Amino acid sequence: MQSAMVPMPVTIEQVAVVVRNMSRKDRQRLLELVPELREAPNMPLSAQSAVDQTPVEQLRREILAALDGQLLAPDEPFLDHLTVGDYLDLPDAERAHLWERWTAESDLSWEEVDVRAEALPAR
Amino acid sequence: MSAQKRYLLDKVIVRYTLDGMLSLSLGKDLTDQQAAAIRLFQRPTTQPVDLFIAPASANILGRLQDIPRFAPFIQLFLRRTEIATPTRYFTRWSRRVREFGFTPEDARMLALGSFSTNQARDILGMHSFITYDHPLVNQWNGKQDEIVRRLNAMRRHLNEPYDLVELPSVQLLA
Repeated sequence: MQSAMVPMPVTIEQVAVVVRNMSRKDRQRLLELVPELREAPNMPLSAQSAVDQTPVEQLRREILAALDGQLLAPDEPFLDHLTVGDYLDLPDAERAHLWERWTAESDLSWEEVDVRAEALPAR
Repeated sequence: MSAQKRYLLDKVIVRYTLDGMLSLSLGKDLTDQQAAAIRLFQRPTTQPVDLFIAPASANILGRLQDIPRFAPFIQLFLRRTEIATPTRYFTRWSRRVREFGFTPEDARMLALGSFSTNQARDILGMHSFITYDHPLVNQWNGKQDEIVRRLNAMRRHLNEPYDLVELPSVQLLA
């Protein structure tokens, strides 16, 4: 007996967009519901080592999607009256100094909260 | 409640990740440090790892999120990380960590490694604190026995679940 195939109401590409925009918690729930997603596909080695599979390339694609396909311009206003281009052109030590200052300005109270009684320790 | 490994990211790691993302969004090449930070940032997509950032780092990201062009970009960052919120006894432990010669900021981050939680408040502490600070790693490892003794002494007087806190491992991002 053949099992009936139910046609998908959406395309795989549409599913991919939904998954990409999920929170981490929702992705984790999805993995619980569909554990098969954890299994690595049986790809040929050449495909697995393709440059576009690297984490950096994956993130590049995610950033481009988040920016609706348009790269940032270097003259986009950033923090402290700098443009993003100005900021990235600064020497590393100066960017570090800026972050030190921004952190100091954040004036956090470090207010403490209680965890749940059943909270999971890091063991 | 997640039983995944929990990594707390040093502010410098957050900066290199963000700088790397900005570079990618401008079509620029990454430095080695930015690339390493981004590989770590992408780890939750392939491994059972939860990434956490300190409230101070989240505050800077929040300022950027107020700039409309950066908002979707920062949302992408915040979807992959959680904020480590200090729990009860954080201040007390932070003070004790300072007594081992750590700066106030380093002591706070190291204390956050033990006494912090997530938004659901169903976890306690981090498995690892990830940093680029080599001297900090050496200092932490060199004084490990004394720090463990000090935490054990404190834990004896705490109620559940705080008496189960652990020290995080402090790892250098290579």
